[in-house]
Amino acid sequence: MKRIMGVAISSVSIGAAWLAGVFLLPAIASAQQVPPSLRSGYSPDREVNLVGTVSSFVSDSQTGPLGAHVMVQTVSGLVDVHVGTAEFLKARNLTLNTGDSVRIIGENFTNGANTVFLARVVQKGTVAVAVRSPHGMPLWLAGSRGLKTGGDKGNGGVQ
Amino acid sequence: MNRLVLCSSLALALFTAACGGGGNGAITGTPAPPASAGPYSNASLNGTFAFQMSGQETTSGGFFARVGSFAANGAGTITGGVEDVNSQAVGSVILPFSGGSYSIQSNGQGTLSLINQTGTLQFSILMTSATSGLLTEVDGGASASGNFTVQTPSTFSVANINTSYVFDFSGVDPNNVPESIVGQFTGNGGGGATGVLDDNDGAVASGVSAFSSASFTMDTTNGPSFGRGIANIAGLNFAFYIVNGSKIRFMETDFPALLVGDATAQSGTIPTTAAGLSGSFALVMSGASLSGSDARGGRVTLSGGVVSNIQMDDNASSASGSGNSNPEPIPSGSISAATYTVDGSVPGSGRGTLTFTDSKLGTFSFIFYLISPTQAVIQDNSAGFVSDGSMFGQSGSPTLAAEAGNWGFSWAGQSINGTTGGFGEEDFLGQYKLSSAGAISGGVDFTELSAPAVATNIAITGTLSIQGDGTGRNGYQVKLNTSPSATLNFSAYFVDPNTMFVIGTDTHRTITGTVVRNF
Repeated sequence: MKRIMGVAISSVSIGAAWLAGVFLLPAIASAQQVPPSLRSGYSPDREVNLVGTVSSFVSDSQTGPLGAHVMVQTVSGLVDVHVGTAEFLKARNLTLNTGDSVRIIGENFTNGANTVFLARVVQKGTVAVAVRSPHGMPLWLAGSRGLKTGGDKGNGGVQ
Repeated sequence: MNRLVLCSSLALALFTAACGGGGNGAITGTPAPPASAGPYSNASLNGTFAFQMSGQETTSGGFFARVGSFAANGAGTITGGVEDVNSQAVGSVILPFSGGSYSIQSNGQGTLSLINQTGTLQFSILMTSATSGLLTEVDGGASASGNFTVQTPSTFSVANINTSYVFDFSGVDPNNVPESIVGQFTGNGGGGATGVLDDNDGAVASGVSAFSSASFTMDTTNGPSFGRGIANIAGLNFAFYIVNGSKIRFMETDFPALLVGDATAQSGTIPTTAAGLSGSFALVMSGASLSGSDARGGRVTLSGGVVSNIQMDDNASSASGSGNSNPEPIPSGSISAATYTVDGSVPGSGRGTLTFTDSKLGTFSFIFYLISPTQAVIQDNSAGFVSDGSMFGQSGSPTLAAEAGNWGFSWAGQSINGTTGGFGEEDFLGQYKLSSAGAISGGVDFTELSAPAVATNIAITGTLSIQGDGTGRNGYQVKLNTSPSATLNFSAYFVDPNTMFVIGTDTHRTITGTVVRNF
C-alpha cells in the first residue's frame, strides 16, 4: 500500500529546492510553451520555484480554480497562483498582503483559456505552508473526503 | 424537525451569507410547509441501529468521522449505544451513549439526540425506509452527514464474517492527503480474512494488491449488544460494527489517518469476464482534484467490453466566479478508447476497470469492485484525482407522472462564501413532495461552514425536469427559501424509479447527493 511506503509531505525540503538552483523560471517562461491541463495530473518532475512580490490577494477568485489566488509579480511578469483557501493559510499563520516577498513551489497548468500556477508550498519569510501533497492533491479540503454524500456514504441511501 | 417551530436558525461564530456567497446576515427564511402524511412515527425507530457519518469539524476545520450504534425503544427514547470517533479535536476514541431522545414525524423527518460524556449531539434524521434512514449533524459542532440502518443482533459474531465482502473506504492518510481504498476480502468465519485492494493515496495508485492477513475480533464489552469489534486490514486498524450478515461498517482508528466506509457482502453471480457484465449504470463519485474538491457522476452503458452512451457531469472546482453552469459536461469532445474489463488476474474478486478518453477533457480511468452484477463501488484513478463512490445498474423508465410522490435527500459538498471567502463543508438533509408536473415543495435542514451557520425547517421549492427517456442527464433545481434565497442546480441521473444521484453544477460549490423516494 502506498501508505506503508510512506511518502510524507514534510520530506520535501524547501531549502533543498532552492539550493537546487531552480529560481523562478516558471510561469511565464514555461507558459510560452503550452502548460499541461489540470487533468494531466501533477508531476513532481515539473515543479519550479516562483520568486516574487505579492501584487494582490483574493480569497474568492473570479477565475478558477475555486478558492484563493495570489498575483505574484516576478521578473518575468505577473503570475496567477492558486493557493488553496485563505482560511487554510491563516490557520497556519500565513497571510499574504500586497508587497510581501514570497517563494512558491508548484507547477503551471492550463485551465480553460487561462494559465494558473498551482502552489504546493507557499513561503513568506520563515513561514512555509504546504497546501498540496507531493503529487498535487489539496490539503486544505479537510472534509472533502467526507464529500461522499449522506446517501452515498456506505451506499446507505440506496439499500 | 419540529414543524411547530416556524423557522429556527442557529448561527455560529459568524453570521454571514448562506449558500454560495451573496449578501450578509443570519440565515433565516420561510418555514417549510406542513409535512405530508406518511407511514412513519416514533415506532419506526425500534431496535439497535448502526450509523456512520463523516464531515468537517467546525473548530478544528479537520475531517472527522463517527461510526457507532444506538438503541431506540420505539417510543422516543435512546436507551444506550456506543460510538467510535476519529477527529482532530479528540483523536480516535470510543464513547458510550448514556441516553438520548428522538422524534419522528409521519413523513419520516425527525430529530435525534445522543448523549455522551462530551455532551449532547443533535441530528436531523430522515427515515428512507422502515429499517434505515439518513442523518446530518445540526448542533453546530460540525458539518457532517451519513446514514443509519437497523442491526440484526444475531449476527454479532466474527463467525458470521464468513463470506466475500466488497469495501470502499475513503478519507485521509496520516499526512491529511486524500486517500481511497476499494477492494474485496473473504472472511473465514474464524476472525481471519484475505483479499485484494486498490489504494489511491494522494493521486498515487497502488494497482491491485493482495493482502493475506486481515483479522476481526469482537469487543467483549460492546460486541454483544452493539456489534462492535476491531479489525486489521492490510496493516490498517479499524473499529467495525456489524449491521447484519451482509454489511459491516468500518472506521480507521490510526489517528491522524482516517478512512471510513462500509463492506457489503457480494451476492448473485459475480461476473468473471467483461462479457458477463452488461447494462446501463448510474455513477456518483466525490473526492478531490488538483483544483480542490471534485464531484462527478452520470450514466454509462457496458456491453461486451465496450463503454458507450456516456453522459456525465464533472465539477472539479476548476471553475469559479458567479454562475450555475458546469463547464465540463462529459462528453465535451469526442469519446474514444471506451472500454471496460473484469479482471481475470484475481478471478472472483469482482474487480474491473473502466476507461475512456474525451478528446477535450482527457482520459478517465476507474477501478470498480462488483458487489453484485448490478452494483459496485468505484474508485477514480484518473490523473490528479482521488475520488470514489457507487455504481448501480439502471432500471425503469422514469416519467414525471411515475415519479410523483414523497422524496428524501441528502447532499454533501463544499462551498465558498462569495463575500467572506469562507470555505467549508455543507450538508443538506430534506424531504419534499414532487408533483406530477415536476414541482418540488418541502423542507430542508442544513449546516454550511462557509457561512458558517446551521438552519432548520427552511422551505424549499424547485423542479425536476426529465429529459428524453430519463435515463441520462435530467434537470434538477432546488431553491432554498432563505433570506436571501439561494438556488442549487444539479444534473440528476436515475438509478431506478425510486432513486436518483445528483451532481451539483454551480461554480461556488462542489456537491453530490442521493435522492430517494421515502414513501
